[in-house]
Amino acid sequence: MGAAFVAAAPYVIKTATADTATTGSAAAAVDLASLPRRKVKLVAPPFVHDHEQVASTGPEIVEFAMKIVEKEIQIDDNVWLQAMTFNGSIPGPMMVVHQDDYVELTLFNPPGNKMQHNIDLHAATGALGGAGLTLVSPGEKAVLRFRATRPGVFVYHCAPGGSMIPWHVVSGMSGCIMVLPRDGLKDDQGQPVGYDRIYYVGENDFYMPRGADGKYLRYTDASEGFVDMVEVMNRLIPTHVVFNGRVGALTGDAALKAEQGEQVLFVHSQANRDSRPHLIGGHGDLVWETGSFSTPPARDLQTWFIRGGSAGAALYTFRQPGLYVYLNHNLIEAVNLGAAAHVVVGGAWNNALMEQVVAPVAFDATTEGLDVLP
Amino acid sequence: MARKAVGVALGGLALAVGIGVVLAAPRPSPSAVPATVRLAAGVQDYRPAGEFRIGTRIVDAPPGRARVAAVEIMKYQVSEADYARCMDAGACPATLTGRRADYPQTNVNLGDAMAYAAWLSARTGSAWRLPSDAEWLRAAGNRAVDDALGAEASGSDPSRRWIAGYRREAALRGESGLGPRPLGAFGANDLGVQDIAGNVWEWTGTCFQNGTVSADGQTIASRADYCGVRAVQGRHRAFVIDFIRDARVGGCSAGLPPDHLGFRLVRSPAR
Repeated sequence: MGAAFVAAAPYVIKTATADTATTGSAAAAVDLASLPRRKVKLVAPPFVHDHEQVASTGPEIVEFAMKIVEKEIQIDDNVWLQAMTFNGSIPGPMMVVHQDDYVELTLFNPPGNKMQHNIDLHAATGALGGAGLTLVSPGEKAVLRFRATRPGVFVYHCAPGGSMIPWHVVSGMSGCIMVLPRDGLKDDQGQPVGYDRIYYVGENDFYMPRGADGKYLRYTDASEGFVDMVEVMNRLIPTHVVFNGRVGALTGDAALKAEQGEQVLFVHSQANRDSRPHLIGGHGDLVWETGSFSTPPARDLQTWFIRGGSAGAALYTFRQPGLYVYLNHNLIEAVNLGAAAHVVVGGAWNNALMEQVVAPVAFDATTEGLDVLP
Repeated sequence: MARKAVGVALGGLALAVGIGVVLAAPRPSPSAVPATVRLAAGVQDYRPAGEFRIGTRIVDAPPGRARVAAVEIMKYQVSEADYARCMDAGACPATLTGRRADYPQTNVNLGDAMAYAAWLSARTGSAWRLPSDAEWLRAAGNRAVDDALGAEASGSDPSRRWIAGYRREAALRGESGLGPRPLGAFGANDLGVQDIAGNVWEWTGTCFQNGTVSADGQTIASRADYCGVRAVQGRHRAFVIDFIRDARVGGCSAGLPPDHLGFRLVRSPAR
C-alpha cells in the first residue's frame, strides 16, 4: 500500500463512525420480515439481467452480490491497466429494481486483493451513499440494504476516501443501477412506454502514464502506478475515453445488435466526466437526460448530455437497417480516444426515409450547378 | 483537402528520391539485398479494388482473369532497422520506429513506403516498388481472401451490404488487434511469404477505383481512379488515405480499420 492510502484511511474511519451514530443501535429497528425476497445474479455489461419493466408485485427485498476484482486488463493495443473492478468488468454490472424495493447488496473483497474498497450508490440515501457502511478490507464482506426511493438511472462507484476516490474510479470502479417506476416508464405525455432491448453503455476516462520513450507504462500492481497516474489525472486530459472498458469493446463481433422496429433503451453512465452520447443516423426518441424518471423525458433529441457523476437513458426505435455508431459526440474522444460503439440493425431498407438519388459520379464543373452554386 | 495532401506527399517524395540517389547510388551493397520469394508468371483471377455500382446499387467488383508476369516479393515486411537506416540517410521521412531488426516497421504512410523503395532501389541497383493489390493477393497465396459479398449483399437494400461487410471483416480480423509482433511471428504461407495477412496491413500502389458495372455484373462499364486513397492489404482489403500512418484512428467511424500499417516491396526478377 502506498503512503497516500495511509493518509486517506483516517478520513474513512471518521465518516464510518459518524454514520454509525445514525444507523446503529440508537435508531429504531425496521421490520422487513414480511417483505418477499428475491435473489438476482448480475451479468456483465453491456447486457442487463432479466427484469420486469412493470412490477407485478409489491415492494421486495432484492438481493445482489458483487465481488471486487483487482486485475490487469488491456484497454488498447499495448496499453495495460491495473484495474479495480466491481465483479470483474468495467463498468460494473447494472442492477435493476423498482421504486420502493429494498436493494440488499453483499460486497465481497476477496483475500487475494490488496486494497480496501466500498460502494457509494447515488440511488441510496445517507451514509455517503452507503460508502460509510461498506468499507471492506481484503478477506471481508459487508451487506448494505437501502430503499430505492427515487426512480431513475444512477451511478455507483467506489469511494474509499481522499485521493483514493478518483483513483479507484478512473481505475474502473463504477457502474449503474436502474430504479424503474413500479408501473414502468412513461413518455413525455404520461403514456406508458417499454423497451424490447436494453443496453448498458458505461463510459470510462483513463489516465495512462507513459515512459520517456512515449510508450505506456505497465505496472506489477495498482499501487506501483499510483503516483504516475495521479500526475496524469491532475492534468485532467484523459489518454483514453472508452465504452465498456476498452477501445473497441462494443465493435466487431461484440457490436450491439437490434432489429428494425425494435425499441432499444440505451443507458449511459459516466462517473467522473461529462459526455454527450449521439447515435449517428438515429435519434433519441425519448431521453431522460438527467437520469431521473420523475421528470418527463425530452423528445426527438440529436445529442444528449451526461453530466459527470450521473447516468441517463435514451429510448430509440430503429426505423432503418444498417450499421449505426453510438458515440460520444466529442469526436476527438470518440474516434481518437475510443468512445464509440457499433450497432448492427437488421431489417429491410425503407426508401421513404432515405434514398441515394445519384451515386457519386463525375460532373462537368464548367456547366453544372452554375445557377445554384456560389 | 485530400488532393492538396497528395500533392504535398508527392513533393516530399521527389525530394527524398533525389537525396537517396546522391547518397547511395555510388556503392550498391549486395549484402543489404532483402530475401525474396518468386511469384511465377501465370494466369490470375482478380477482382478490382474499390466501389462498383449498377445504378445506385453497390455490387461486388466483377471478376477478371489476366496473364501476369513473374515478380519477386520480399519474404518479410520491411523491418524497423531497415527503415531507420533510410531515415538516418535522410532519404525517408521520420516516423516512430523502435529500430529493431526483428520487428516490422509500422506507422508508415504511402509516401514513407515509396521513399523507402526509392532509397533501396538506389542502394541495391534494382528497381523496388510497392506491389499492386493484385500482386499482393498472389503473394498472399492460401491466405488471400476474395472480398466479394455475394448477391444477397448486392441488392437494392444498402444496409445488407454494410452489415455483411462489417461481419466478414470482424470474422477475418479475429484477434489480430494485438501489439506488433516480431518478424516471422505469423509464420509463412504456402509460398514461403512470411507474416502476410498477420496484424500488419501492407500498402499497395493500387488506387481506389470508383466504377460502374454492366447490368449482368460481369464487366466494368466505366471507372475513375482516386489516388489519394490506396488499397492496403491484410486480413481483409481496406482503403486508407495516403498520408495516414495509423489507420485505427484515421478511418471511417463505422468500419473495422487495419491494426497496423507497414509494407513490403517487389521487384521484377532478373532475366
